[in-house]
Amino acid sequence: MKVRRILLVDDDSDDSELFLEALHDLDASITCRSATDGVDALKKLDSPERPDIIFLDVNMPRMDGWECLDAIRNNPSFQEIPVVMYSTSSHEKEVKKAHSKGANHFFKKPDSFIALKETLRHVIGLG
Amino acid sequence: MNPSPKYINPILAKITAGTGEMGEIIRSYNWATSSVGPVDSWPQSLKTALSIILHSKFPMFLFWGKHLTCFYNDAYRPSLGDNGKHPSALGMPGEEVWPETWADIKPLIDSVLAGEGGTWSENQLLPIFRNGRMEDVYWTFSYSPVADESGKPCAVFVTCTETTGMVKTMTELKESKNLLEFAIDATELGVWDYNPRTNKFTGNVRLKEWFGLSPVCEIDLSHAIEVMAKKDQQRVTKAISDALVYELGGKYDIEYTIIHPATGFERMVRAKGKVWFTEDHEAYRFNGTLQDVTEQVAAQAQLEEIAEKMQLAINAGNLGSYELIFETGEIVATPQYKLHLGMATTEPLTFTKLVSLILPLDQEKVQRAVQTAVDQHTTFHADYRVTASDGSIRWVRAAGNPVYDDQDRAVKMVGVTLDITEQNEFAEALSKQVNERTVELQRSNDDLMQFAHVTSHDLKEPIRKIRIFAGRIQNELSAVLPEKGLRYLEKIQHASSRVMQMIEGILTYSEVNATKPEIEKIDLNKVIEDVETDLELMIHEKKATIRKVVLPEIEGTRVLLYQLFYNIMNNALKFSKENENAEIGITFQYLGDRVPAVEIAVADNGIGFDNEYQSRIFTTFARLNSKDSYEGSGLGLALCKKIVERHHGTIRASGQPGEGSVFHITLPLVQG
Repeated sequence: MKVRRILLVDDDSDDSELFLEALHDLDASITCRSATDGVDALKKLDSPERPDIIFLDVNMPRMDGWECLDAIRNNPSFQEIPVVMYSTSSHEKEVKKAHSKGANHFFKKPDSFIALKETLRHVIGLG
Repeated sequence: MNPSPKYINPILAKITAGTGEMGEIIRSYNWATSSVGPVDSWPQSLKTALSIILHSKFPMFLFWGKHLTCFYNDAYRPSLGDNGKHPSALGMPGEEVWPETWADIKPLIDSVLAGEGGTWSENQLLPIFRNGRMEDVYWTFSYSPVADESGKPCAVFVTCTETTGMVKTMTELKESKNLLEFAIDATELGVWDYNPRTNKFTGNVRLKEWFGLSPVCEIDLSHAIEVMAKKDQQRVTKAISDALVYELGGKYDIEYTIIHPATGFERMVRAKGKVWFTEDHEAYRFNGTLQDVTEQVAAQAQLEEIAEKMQLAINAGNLGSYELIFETGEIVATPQYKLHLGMATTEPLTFTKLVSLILPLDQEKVQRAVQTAVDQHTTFHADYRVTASDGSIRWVRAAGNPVYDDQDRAVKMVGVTLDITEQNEFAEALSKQVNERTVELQRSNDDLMQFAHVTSHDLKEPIRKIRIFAGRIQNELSAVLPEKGLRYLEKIQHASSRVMQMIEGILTYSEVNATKPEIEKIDLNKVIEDVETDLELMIHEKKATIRKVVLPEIEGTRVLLYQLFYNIMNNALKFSKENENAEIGITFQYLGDRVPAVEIAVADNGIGFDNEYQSRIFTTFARLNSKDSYEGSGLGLALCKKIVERHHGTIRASGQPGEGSVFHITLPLVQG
């Protein structure tokens, strides 16, 4: 299935901007919505336009990525949507936790734009 | 034996009349076939000699004529014993009768017959066959000539007496005297013998040596008294005069000091003696022994001194002391011990009473400790609590040694006690304080770690962004930037990369504490393989070879052990020499002392380090090399140390600048 719509959940506007730019560079036809935290994400999910994939940051205010993931996986309407989580660091523990909670993938935020694009290309390819 | 003749010579009948057994035998003997011929042919001198011999009650013997034919009387008869030469000796040639002594006596006989006069032999040993065996027989005897009608010696007349009994008695006497002398000598005793009538005494050489007296015979008692220490003279004189009084029992036992007149050596002696009295109760002999007790007295004095010092120590240390008699359960205790138990010093103490004073919680412990000490012949030690008569709880420390009898039965326990109430209270307070401080420290340490963890995590975000945007400028805007701008950006990238590394280091370091140790069996070979995989790029870059032996399996936490070997090997590669291919050698050996452990050595051929920094390299943010040449968080080895310590192990490093370094990691095989 080709990814057409993406929901990006991240409280950091810099990161959102970087992700959006990178995704656009990868495929200009992709439409991307962003949410600033878990609560916002769940609200934005509740619309007729389902995303094909959700990018979910771990550390966020109000509702963090873990809670948000739980909510998505516990909701029959969203539970089939692939979720990719990411964080500043990637500990074995966190990776395991993500998979056990039903995330489809977990990556550490790269520290170069080129690396970010490579990561996203790979992830979308999976989706 | 010759058959009895019918005819008896009248002269022979006369000679032998009334002479007992031998007379009878001689009379009835068939002389006609003997070497001396028929009685009718006997010369007068033989008949005269025989008459003398047979009538004498003194043992006599006669060797007659050419054949030295034997005759003897009744008195001689016992010396021939039973089952021996009697009566076959009679009328036989001497050589046939005395084959066993012939070599000894023949020369004597010859000398007598040669006219050299009589012989005299006293207590001479001449073993003879009698009583069915060879016997050692001693004789005192004289051989004298018997002259024939022409005055020439024709026979040897023997008067003799057997002295075997006397010689044996004398020998025994001599032996027992030797034994006594040996005993006196062996026990190093002086012996003395005093004659009260002459006021003189004799003594053995040793005694005279002690007194510095001349070894010649008798010595005046006053000379001996003069040699004694002044303080003893009067006392000894009185003891001697008392001993000589019959009514006082005649016993003498006294110690005094002799001061050698020549050397001045002071010898402590113990004199013991006995007085011999006549029927009229007059002392006629006073003898005894003298024993050197200098060392004994010195030892005794030393012992007393030690005892005194010990008492002082016991008093000074407020020690109680006791003797527990096992058979009766009675405890002989000093007042101090009773004070320790918080009981009245006048109250008697028994083991049962003691146990009743001890808190129930400690009773079994004390009884078991006593039993163990008795069973294993060891020193008893116990700290226990007692309820004092005022109701307070006191701590007593007791020690003791069991004493055993000849049959190895424990008779008693002798020991000391100490009141350790205050000491224990102090220790308890101290321990409580230490615990509180430890908890506090732990908390502040945890807080610090938490802080480090959170801050470094948060710091990572901005650094990452600096790197990402600086990177974008470098990649996307390099065309519009002057050369200088690009160089500065490079510096920004470099610096931010280092900050990132340090933050990662702090994070890992703080996480070691946070990690719950999940102990499992770890195959170290697998750990090293994983590290090699993760360091593949670096290994390739440094053209490194890794030589390793097959490592054992140990218990530990997988992630931590991985981190440990990752850091060590990463270090080895990082600090390799520029112009040389890196080499890493991994070996190990088992260590057996106390806890079974393994020592793993990781050696490299890198730039090494000065041994001066051996321990410093394991501290946080320690750095031996410039940041510019070798990047790093400064936490790698500190982390290694922490991991090893978490596993109850040790780590040390040794090296030489330019000669590589070796890391020795000791880890227990089992985590307890």
